[in-house]
This record gives sequence, C-alpha cells and structure tokens, in this order.
Amino acid sequence: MRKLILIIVAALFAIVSVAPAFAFEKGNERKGKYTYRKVYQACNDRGAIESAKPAVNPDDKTQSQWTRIFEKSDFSGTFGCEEEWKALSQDDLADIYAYLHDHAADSPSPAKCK
Amino acid sequence: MKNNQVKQSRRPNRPAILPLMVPLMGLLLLSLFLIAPHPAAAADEVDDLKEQLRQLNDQMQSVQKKLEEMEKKSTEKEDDLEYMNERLDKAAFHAATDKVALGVELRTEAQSIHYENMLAAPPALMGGFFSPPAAGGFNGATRAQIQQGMAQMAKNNMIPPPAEADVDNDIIYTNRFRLNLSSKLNDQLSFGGRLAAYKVFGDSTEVKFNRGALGDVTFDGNTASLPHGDTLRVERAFFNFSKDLGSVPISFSLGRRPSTEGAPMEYRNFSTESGSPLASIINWQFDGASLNFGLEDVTSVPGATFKLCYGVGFEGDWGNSYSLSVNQAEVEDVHLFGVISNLYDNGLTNLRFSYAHAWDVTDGFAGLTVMPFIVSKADMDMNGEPEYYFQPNSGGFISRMEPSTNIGDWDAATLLLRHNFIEQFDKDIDFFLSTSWSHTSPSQVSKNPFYEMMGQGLLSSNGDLEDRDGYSLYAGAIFPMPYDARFGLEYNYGSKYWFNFTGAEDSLVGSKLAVRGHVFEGYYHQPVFGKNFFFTLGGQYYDYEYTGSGNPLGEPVKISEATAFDAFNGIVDKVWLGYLSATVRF
Repeated sequence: MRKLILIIVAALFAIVSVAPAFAFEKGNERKGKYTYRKVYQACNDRGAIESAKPAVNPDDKTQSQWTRIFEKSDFSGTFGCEEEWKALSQDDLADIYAYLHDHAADSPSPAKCK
Repeated sequence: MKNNQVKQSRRPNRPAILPLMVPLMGLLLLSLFLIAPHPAAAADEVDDLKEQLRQLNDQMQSVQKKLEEMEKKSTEKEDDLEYMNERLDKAAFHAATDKVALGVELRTEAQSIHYENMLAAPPALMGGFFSPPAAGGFNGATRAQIQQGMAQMAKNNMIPPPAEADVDNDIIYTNRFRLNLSSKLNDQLSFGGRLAAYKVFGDSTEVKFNRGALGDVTFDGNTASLPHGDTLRVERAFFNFSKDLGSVPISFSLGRRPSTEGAPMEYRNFSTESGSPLASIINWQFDGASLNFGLEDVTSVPGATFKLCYGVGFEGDWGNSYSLSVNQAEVEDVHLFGVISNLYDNGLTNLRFSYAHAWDVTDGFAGLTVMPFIVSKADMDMNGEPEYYFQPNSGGFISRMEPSTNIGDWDAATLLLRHNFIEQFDKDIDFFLSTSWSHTSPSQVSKNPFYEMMGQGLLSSNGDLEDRDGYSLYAGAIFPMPYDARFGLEYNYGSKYWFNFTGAEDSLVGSKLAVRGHVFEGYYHQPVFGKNFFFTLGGQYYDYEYTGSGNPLGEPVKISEATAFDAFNGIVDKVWLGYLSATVRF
C-alpha cells in the first residue's frame, strides 16, 4: 500500500513540475484584486479620492453588469479615478474583470458575513 | 380599448400635402395662361411645367411611400416598447417580491476508504464489563473496585493487547445539496443563509451507531456538515447590518453563523472563502454574533480588519435531564469568544490572526447516537457508594446524549499566511501556511459514568488535571494546470495535546485538522464550466500518532503503546482514501 501511495505522490509531483508550462493564460482574479486595490491606492495618493479602499465592491453588481461595463470600457463612470484606469494594460483589465466577475452579487459564493 | 386610444393618439399625423395639390396646380396653370407671351413658346413652357409637375408628383408619391414605411416602423417599435414595458413590469414585480436570491450547490462524490491497523478492546475484555464482580467482572462494581481491578491487571501484565484489524470500504457514495440564500435590502442591511442536506447513498436514518468518533453523534455543531440523511437543515442564517462610523466601516451580525469551511479550506473546496473562523481552529456550526471593524483607512494597512465573535456551543437549561431542575447539579452553558483580524491583505498576500476562548467546555454534546452499551451509576445496595452498571444496547436504541460536566476552559490561536506567486513567477501559484496553538485547563473529572470510572477529564486521565499545550501546522501549495485545472498538495500535523473544534469539517473519516499526527492530501480540480461545474480527484493519507484526535476527553496515548483499556472506543491508526466528485454550483 505504501508503494502505491509513493507512486501516486511521485506521479502527482511529476505532473506538477511539468504542467505549469502548459497553463493557459487568462485573467487572474487574485492578481485582479491586487491591481484593483492598487488603482485606488494610486488615485488616493494623488489626492483624487479620500480613501484608498475601493469604493465599489464586486458584489455591488451582477456578473452580467460587470461584463457590460468591461465590454463598453466604461470605467471612469463606474469607478472614478479615470487617470489610473486609462493607464491600465489589457492584461490588468482582464485580471480586474476576473476578480469583479468571480465575486459578483450573483456569483456562486456562499453566504458569509463581512 | 383605452390602450388603442393611447396608441392612436401617439401616432404621428399624416402631412396634409395631397389636399393642397389640386388648388396649387390650378393656380399654377392659370398663371401660365395669363402671362404666356407667345403661343409656341407658351406650349414649350407648358410642357416643361407639365414635366416638372410630373416629377413633383413622383417625388410626392415617393415621400408618401417613405412616410407610410416610417409610420409602419414606428408602430412596430411602439409595439416592441409596449412588450418590453410589460416584461420590465414583471421583472420589477419579481425584484420587489422575490426577496431572497437562491444559489444551488450539488456535489456527488465517490470515496474508497481503507483503515489500517484499527485497534479495539478484545471481546473477552469487553465481556468483563457485563459480568458481576463475583465472576471477575466490573458490572455492579464501585469506582474504587474498577480502578483497583484495572491497576491489578496492569501490575500483573494481564491487560490484553488491543485487537487489530484492517477495514475497507471499497466504495461509498454521497450527495451534498446546499441551497444558498442571500438578500440585500439596502446598502446597510443584508441577509445570508444556507440550507443543506448531506447524505450517504442508501441512508437517511440521521443517527449513527457510535464507535467513539465525534462524528458518530448527530449534534448541533455538525448536523448539516456531515452526512445525516435527506433532511434539509439550517446550516447558517444571519443578518448583517453595516454602518460607517467616520472612516471606520462597522458591521454587526446576529444569527446562525457562517462558521464552517473558513480559510484556507477554499483551495481544497475550489471555492471562494466560505466562512469566518480560520478552519485550523474552528470549523463548527453554532449560533452567535459578530462585530467587525474595517481599519484600512485609519491604519493605512491594506485590508486591515478586526472582528469580535461570540457563540454558544451548549445550552444547559434546555431539553436536558437537569434543565430547570433543582435536584441535579446544573451543567453550565458553553460560551465561546474570539477575535479574527486581517493584519494585512493586498489581494496577493494575506496575513490573518485569530484567537478563541471557550469557557466551561463540556464532556460531550447534546445529540443523538446509538450507543453500543449503556453505562449507568446507582447506589443499588444502599451503602452510600454508587456502583457502575453496564448494559449492552442489544436493541440498538437511539440515545439522546447530553453533557454531564463542565470539564474546563480552552484557548486557541492561529496565524495564517496566504500568498499568490503570480508577481514573482508569472504563474498562478498559491501557497499557505498556518501555525496554531491550543491550551486546555481542566477543572474536574467528568461525571459521565463511562469517563468517570477512568478518571477522565479535559485531555487528562486518572484524575490528573494538568494544563496542556498543543500545536499544529497546516501548509499547502496549489498549482495551475492545463485547461484551467488546479492541483493542490496539503500537509498538516498536530501534536500530542493538540485540540480544536473542527467537528464540522467535511470528512467521512474525521477532521484532518484535528489529527494528532500527520495527514497528507493531494487533489486535482478540473473545471468544465469554470467554478460552476467541475470535477475533483483527490486522495488523503492519515497517520495518527496519538489516540483521541478531536475528542476533549482523556489523556492522549501514543498509538504504538496503546493497550486494550485505551481502545474501548476503538482507535484508528492509519487511513488512506481516494475520492472523485462532480460539483454543480451556481
């Protein structure tokens, strides 16, 4: 039995070491949260807003509403801080979209108090 | 009829051009006749004018045709608008009356579980508990007689070794259904809840035969989190009231808490973070309250929060044999207090701390189970010293268990570090490390006859009431894989006196984070439709070092040194299992 476990663990390690090379590139929600916070931090640093904490939370809108906002690129109207949003790359926007979309009001997240 | 009138009144008026055409043309011809200078030239001009009139007429007809088309399109758009208004009315009606949004999660799982070297007291020894002292047994003996008898057996090396066995459950299937509820009344007030039914295929009895594990009792802390049949139970239901006090956002919450599957369990569950308490010390259903302070603006520390939590684990004056009774000693309520604080959270790195304290921990929980035998205490011979009586539960009757004693206090603290390495390696690799401490302060030996005869209290035996410290380590790494899959490796270790409240951890074997020993786990999540539909393949290996993991009673004993007297409840030494599940979550 121990041999079996060792074989399984070894196989899994082999997969782990090789697989990241084939990983697909797409919006990363963890990086999106980080970048999203950085936008507001930069906006706060230049004195455009009073708090560095993002004023708009992912669960303030539904997934389709987030999709619509990012399809229209209507960022300053929703988030403010136009200067910072214009400076973001397409990858940054994809990450932020992944974060907001995955934690939207109708996302499959269980009920949890803040 | 009214709608038609409205519709007609909205239609644009047809331009009154045609009625003007006849007099206009007459006037034009008359003027031509009066001012004509020469008959031949006049004839040419008349022809020109006729041609112009014909062209004008064609243009007018073209304009008329376009106007009719526009009118038709306008009518169609008006109909569309009316249709959309009707639909919007219905949607607005539902938005106003459907006060709770529902989310569904259904997981079907297959497990293959294999127990190695399970230890149990041999039948010959257990038989002694049902024989009277005159026949060399303990049935009807006093505590002193039982303890003397056990000491004598130890002295004479007569304690038999525990019986060993390997047990396999090659395949067991479960269904776990969850109905998540959420409602946002306004920006300040919201409601959250979850109803859940979790069952093993082919079983809905809701009560298990007791083999000594915490999960064998169906009680308030685990009803919806472990397989207990097809009954839909309230796992969590709470409201959340938020208000900003200056630059400090505050939220207050009451109800049945979201206190299961907290961080960092979200990696193995392939979900977002699902509970408040850190899962390394508390994974338990309970009712209570919380008060949260957002400290980001006042401290300038990203994501800084501080939360106070309160819960009740047991209510003494409700439904127990001693409730509201003056004839029996009361068992005090169990109150739990804790703090949870985000020390830093920038989205990629999170450092979180939690501390918890429980007063008057009890020697069990109010719940249902089928005991293998019943132990009772009574002074049948009226000599002032009670005797202990053992009776096999040959009828398989269900017992309502209840705590007998408050056995002491419990403290625990944990520090969790989570980090995502995408900035460093440009790969979505998650890592977490959690270190925890527990402290038990026993106050007295349990008065439950079974534990009392062995002098067991909070992590203590033979009446030896000493404070104990326990430690645990929990670490894991999760890697990105092809086709958006995630592969995770986890490891956790618990020391001899490690004790936490994780009885609601989803496991058919027992909470891995309560283990006094080592647990290894690997899992592979393969999404089909993102996190809405995915498969998980995984395996766990439990290597227990000490007895009684997750149980507050009795001094833990090294399993390799356990005797039959340590194995009345059965001892699990090693377990390995594999699981495959499909989850739909939306």
